[in-house]
Amino acid sequence: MTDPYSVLGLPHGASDDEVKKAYKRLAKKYHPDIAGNSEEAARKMQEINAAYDQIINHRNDYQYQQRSSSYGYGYDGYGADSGEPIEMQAAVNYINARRFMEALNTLYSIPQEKRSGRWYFLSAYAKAHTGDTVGARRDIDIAIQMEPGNMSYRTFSDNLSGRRNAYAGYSQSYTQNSPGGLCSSLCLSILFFRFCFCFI
Amino acid sequence: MFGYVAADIKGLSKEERALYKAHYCGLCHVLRERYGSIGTSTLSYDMVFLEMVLSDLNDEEETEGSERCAVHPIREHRYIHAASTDYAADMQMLLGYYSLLDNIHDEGKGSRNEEKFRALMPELEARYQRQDGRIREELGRIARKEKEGCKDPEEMSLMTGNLLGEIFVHDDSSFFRDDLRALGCGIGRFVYLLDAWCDRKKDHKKGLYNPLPDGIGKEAMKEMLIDAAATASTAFEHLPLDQHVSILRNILYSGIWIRFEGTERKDD
Repeated sequence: MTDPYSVLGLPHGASDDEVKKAYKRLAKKYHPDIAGNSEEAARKMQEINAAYDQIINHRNDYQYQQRSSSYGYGYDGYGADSGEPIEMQAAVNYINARRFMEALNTLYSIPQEKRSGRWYFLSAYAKAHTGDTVGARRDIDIAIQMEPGNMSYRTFSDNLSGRRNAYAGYSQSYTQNSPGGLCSSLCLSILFFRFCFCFI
Repeated sequence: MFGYVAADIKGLSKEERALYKAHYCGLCHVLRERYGSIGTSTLSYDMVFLEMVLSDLNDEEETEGSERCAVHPIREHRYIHAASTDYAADMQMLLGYYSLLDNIHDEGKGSRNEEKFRALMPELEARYQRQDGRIREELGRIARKEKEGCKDPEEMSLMTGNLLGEIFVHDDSSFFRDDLRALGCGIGRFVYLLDAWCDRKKDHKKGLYNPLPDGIGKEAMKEMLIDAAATASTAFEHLPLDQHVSILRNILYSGIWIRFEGTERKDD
């Protein structure tokens, strides 16, 4: 597996700020306005995007460490032969490509009676990523009702609440310590709950 | 739009204050250059936030100028212009137009500028079909729900969220498209809820629609606001921003609460 840090030219475990700076430097370098419309530059840009996404959004994915596929935070084929509508796989592909609106459109093309617990989970995940955390909470509650034993759904539900607490905590410390007080971005990265997940 | 998305000035360093002000003056400058006095009449801090996010995200070249203007005729002041300043100004005009129509509809005022606005709209609509279409769609939905007397503030706020989310997506092919959408959506939800909170007594007195249940408490309100703000900030922290990040965090974690804390004190 390519190490996403090395794609960005960074040592493993570089800080978020360093990752963001490196991303921007490389994105500029391979931007079509500068690099032209070459295939090589487009491929490079895809790699850089995937590496950035991997580090910033999926750092804590347990499965990421275990997986051997390229940037493997994706769907691993489970459920493919369980009679799931084909649209479910398409929705997962969209989610893995961070195209959450397309994922939602695809999910909603599946008729109501075919919507499984997993459907509600995917819908909750995509909704949370387009800003509709209220709809996400409603959907994940249904998913949990349908499959009470599924720990991923519960973890996701906890993540949703965790974000609120993290925000509230950081916001409070921000006001108390500003300007430029104790709470730096280091504090932020500890407090701020990474909102990531793996579709297994 | 609402002007709630502003910095907590006390929390900014001297340099940051100057930079923030220069971005504000930059947006004002562009609105005046392109649209004259009706342009500047729409100016709000909300779109300064958008401009600072996008110009940082796209690593845009920022050019500086210095001028005297009608509001500050004596002291020459600095303004900053980037490619996203133009985009933010155009979005400000779209929002300003629909907000004007809303005022005319609600209170029968503001019609003096209506014709001037109308003359500008065809070009903006043609240029920003995606954003304009979404604004119309969501405003139509809000109007229908208001008519039904919907008392679910979170459902109502999502429509403003979706509207602003679309506006934050300056480029539909950007890798960060959906992070921008979620950021805009969280902020849209926040400002809608805060606006409903600030107006609740006035609306009650005048018999106007308000989505909040009667007698809603501060704590319940705060819970909803935190959820919206957390949605915005989660998306924000995903974006590779490095130039304006400290000012933008001030806004997201502190500045947006000023009005709410203010009404809290007044109510106590």
